[in-house]
Amino acid sequence: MKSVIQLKDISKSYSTDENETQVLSHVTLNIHEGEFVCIMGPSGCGKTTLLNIAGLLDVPSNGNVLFQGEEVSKASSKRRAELRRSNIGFVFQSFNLIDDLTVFENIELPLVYQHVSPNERKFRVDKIMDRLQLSHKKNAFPTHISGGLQQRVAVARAVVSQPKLILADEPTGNLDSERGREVMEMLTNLNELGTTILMVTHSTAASDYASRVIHLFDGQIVTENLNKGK
Amino acid sequence: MLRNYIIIGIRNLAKHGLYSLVNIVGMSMGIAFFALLFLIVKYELSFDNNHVDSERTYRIVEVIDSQDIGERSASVPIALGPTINDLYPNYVESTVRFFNHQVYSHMIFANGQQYNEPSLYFTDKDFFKIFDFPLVRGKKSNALADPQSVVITTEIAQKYFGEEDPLGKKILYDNQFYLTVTGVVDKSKVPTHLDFELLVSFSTLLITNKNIMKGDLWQWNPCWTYVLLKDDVKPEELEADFDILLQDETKFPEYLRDYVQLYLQPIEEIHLYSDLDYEMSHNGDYMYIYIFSAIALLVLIIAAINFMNLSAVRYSTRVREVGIRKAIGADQFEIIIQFLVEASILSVLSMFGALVFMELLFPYIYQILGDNTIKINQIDTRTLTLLIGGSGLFVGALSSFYPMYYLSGFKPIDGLQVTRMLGVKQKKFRKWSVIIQFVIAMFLLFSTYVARKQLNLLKDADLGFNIKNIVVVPLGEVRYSLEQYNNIKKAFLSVDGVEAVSGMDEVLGVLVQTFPYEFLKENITLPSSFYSGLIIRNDFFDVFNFDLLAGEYIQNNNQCDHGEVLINESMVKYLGYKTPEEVIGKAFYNRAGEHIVKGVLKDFHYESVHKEIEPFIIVKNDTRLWKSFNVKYMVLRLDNIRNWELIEGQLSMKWSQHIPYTLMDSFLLKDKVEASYQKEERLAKVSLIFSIIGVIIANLGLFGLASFITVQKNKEIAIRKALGMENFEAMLFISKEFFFLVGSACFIAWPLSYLAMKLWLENFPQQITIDIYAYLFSGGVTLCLTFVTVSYHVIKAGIKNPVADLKSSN
Repeated sequence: MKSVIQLKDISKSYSTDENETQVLSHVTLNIHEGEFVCIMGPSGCGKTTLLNIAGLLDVPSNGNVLFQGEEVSKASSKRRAELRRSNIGFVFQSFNLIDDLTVFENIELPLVYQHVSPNERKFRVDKIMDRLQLSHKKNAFPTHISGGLQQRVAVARAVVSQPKLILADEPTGNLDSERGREVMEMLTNLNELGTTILMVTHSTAASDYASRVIHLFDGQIVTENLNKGK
Repeated sequence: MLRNYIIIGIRNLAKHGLYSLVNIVGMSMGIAFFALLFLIVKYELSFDNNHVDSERTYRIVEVIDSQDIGERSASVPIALGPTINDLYPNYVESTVRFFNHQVYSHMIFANGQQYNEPSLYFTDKDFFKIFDFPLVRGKKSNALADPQSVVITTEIAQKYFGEEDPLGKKILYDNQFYLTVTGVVDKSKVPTHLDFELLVSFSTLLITNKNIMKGDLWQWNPCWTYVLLKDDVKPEELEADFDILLQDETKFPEYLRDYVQLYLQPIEEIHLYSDLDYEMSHNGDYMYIYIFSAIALLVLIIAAINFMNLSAVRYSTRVREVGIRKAIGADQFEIIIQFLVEASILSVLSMFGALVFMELLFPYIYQILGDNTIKINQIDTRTLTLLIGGSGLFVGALSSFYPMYYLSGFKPIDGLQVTRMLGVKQKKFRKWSVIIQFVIAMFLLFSTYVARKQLNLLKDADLGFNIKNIVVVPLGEVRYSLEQYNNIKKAFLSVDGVEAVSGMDEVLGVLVQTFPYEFLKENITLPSSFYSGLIIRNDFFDVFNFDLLAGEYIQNNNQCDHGEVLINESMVKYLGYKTPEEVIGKAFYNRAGEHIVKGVLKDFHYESVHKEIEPFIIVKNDTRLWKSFNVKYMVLRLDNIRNWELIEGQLSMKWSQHIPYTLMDSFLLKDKVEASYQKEERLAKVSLIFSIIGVIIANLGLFGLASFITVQKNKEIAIRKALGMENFEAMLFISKEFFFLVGSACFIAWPLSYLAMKLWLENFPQQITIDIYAYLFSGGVTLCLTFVTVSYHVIKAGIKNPVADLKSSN
């Protein structure tokens, strides 16, 4: 199976005037096409940092990152932006929707940056809104809809450009169990349709949806289990 | 994508309504008032550069310098123009003279009405060959060719004839001869130092006043004379050849020949750089062009800083949004474009706001500035678009650059972690920008105070004689006989409220002439010098009071066979005497004979207080000795100027009884003297208006910042309150940052302002001292306004219940 993203011996540290904090230490991880990988671990173990590096939002202090075989740890911010816009979708715990854009406009945004024509954008956004039952909130602003709906919008925005990889950071963290389940089912459906998913979570219920679960502790991978049911 | 940017930009503006309003209003004011000064500066710079050949056109000036005194005259002898034409055909294409008999006004009878016209000049037929004033009626080629032709301005045409076609109409000049209107010129759009309203063909003089080209053709210098040089002729070439003319024994008289120099002055430089004796009109001053440009720029800088700070504040709340956009795939360029679009929306709105300010406020401001030369609807669209559009977009883009660069440059991950809102660098930058804003505002306040105080010093300056309650009635040169003068004087003295009446040849305190005199010292005749002086009637000292240091005033009815003069202290020093008493009884000589020094006056300002006092001579007009009557102005002392309107009516009645078919002219001496402070008055007004605008814009910015900073500090205040801080302490805690910024600005603004104003004050012989009140005024006004501006937010934040802020996550 082809690798979507490969992290080779990566480390990440943050320095201040007084001390240096090692967040990730010699992590090596290979995510293959079609996988649903879940990263778990206690707060501060480096889960989100790992996700950000895998999503090309951040760069490692040491080590290599290969995205579909291309070395990107030293790539320009412009190149990384190009790769993100055409290959990666994000779902965040805090939804990270833009308050000043409507539901439709938020979902449309990745297509805008991909310079998709307005007609095509409308077609694709309408289609995804239909699928995720968001059409009735098309013109609402994020602050006027519930947390569950906001996360659904975030998922819609993540998948509208049909990315190869979806990165989800605590996607159910701010939701009740019912809404959390809905989101996880959406991600599972996407995975079944071929999208690779890398998810960070605290929730064991959410991790049950993944095909592989990786445990991180103090910036290092300590265990890696295949979820046999998947 | 652009649509997306515009939508989010507009929504953002609406969402942060207060910031947006403050931002737009501040920017609009900045652009509008920058435009105002820019237009004034542009207008001042455009004087006389619209003529096709203005680069080849020069005014001839005459400098008479003997023993370090004399005159620098803007006008030259009447014969000089044609002589230069004849003598230098290889250099000169044409010359044009302007001549007005050196009188205050000319009497015109037109369409059944009598007018006194101060701006009438006799001029040569080549006027339109040199000067490109648009002729709306008539033909340039022959408008001034024939005797008794007159070209009038559109304003005069309207005044005399209303809607009737003025061409071919006849007007009566000075009850002597008729002039036919041969052209109507529109000079409203051609800024010029040429102060004409009526131009009479010079050939008229030759047939109506046959003596005009006889007599002292080379001593008297009443003609403003312009020369158009041929292509490729350099002015220095002609100037070098003037020696031939100056040494020609048939031209300048012998006593002048060694002291006269002729120079060529580029016409384009006259308005801003020329300050000669006998200028045709009040000129501008290049120094004020620099000052106004600097003020315009300072106001624009305040507005730009304001715009930048408020934009930075708004952008800083959008760090998360930028992070999301970057995570989704936007690159730095796209983020910059987005913020540029938003800044452009603000700029465009500000430009419209600026137009509204210009339309609504400018008529009043021009009125305050006493400037009716620039009207908004007269500015061409191109200038207006370039000015408003250019300054708006430039400042918009420039002031958005820092926040855009800051926001677009960070890693997306920083944006998503919203706790990292504003970096230390940006806070420092914001603090400095606020300090710079207030330094400028305080500088403007400081200079307003100093300029106003200096103006008051000029206005209240003791000229050395009384100007209060003094009225001047112009007579016109040789228009009236001594007998008529005496009759009018007698009639004026019979009017209640008139205490004394006398006569003089020029207006004391405004303009004087120069006279050549030799002086006999210890039996040695000192070389002839050209002293500034005034010819007076013998009762002059009944009207004016001077400080007499030695000797006596010229006596009324003093019959003697010699002339009598008074001199000033500077003359005593110039002649090399130690005490005034030593000069009494000594004699000056000129062609009229001996003039005995009767008294010495303490130095007084015979012209504007801008000018240094030089040796001065007051000469009695003794018609018995002189055989001529050189009095052009009657001068009256009233008991109280408050009754002036009533007295003026009675004087006019007396005037028309003695000189029928004429109108009496009159003015208050104080008004004429104060007119020479026009430039300082204008600066004081400009700096007042612009310091108010500067302070308003700076405080608008502070208001926006205060709102932002207090919101930012809410959580900190909530924690402090939870730990025991009281409401009042919370208010002090918030406000101290603002007062620190303004206080810091004081310490930068004060020394800078002091140095700049000290430099400006060096232009005046009499200067104020910059006192403590200049500092207190600029600092006090700024601190008070800061207090008022921030108090709303400070009080609001100070009394806020901390519970809500303790719950919030950031």
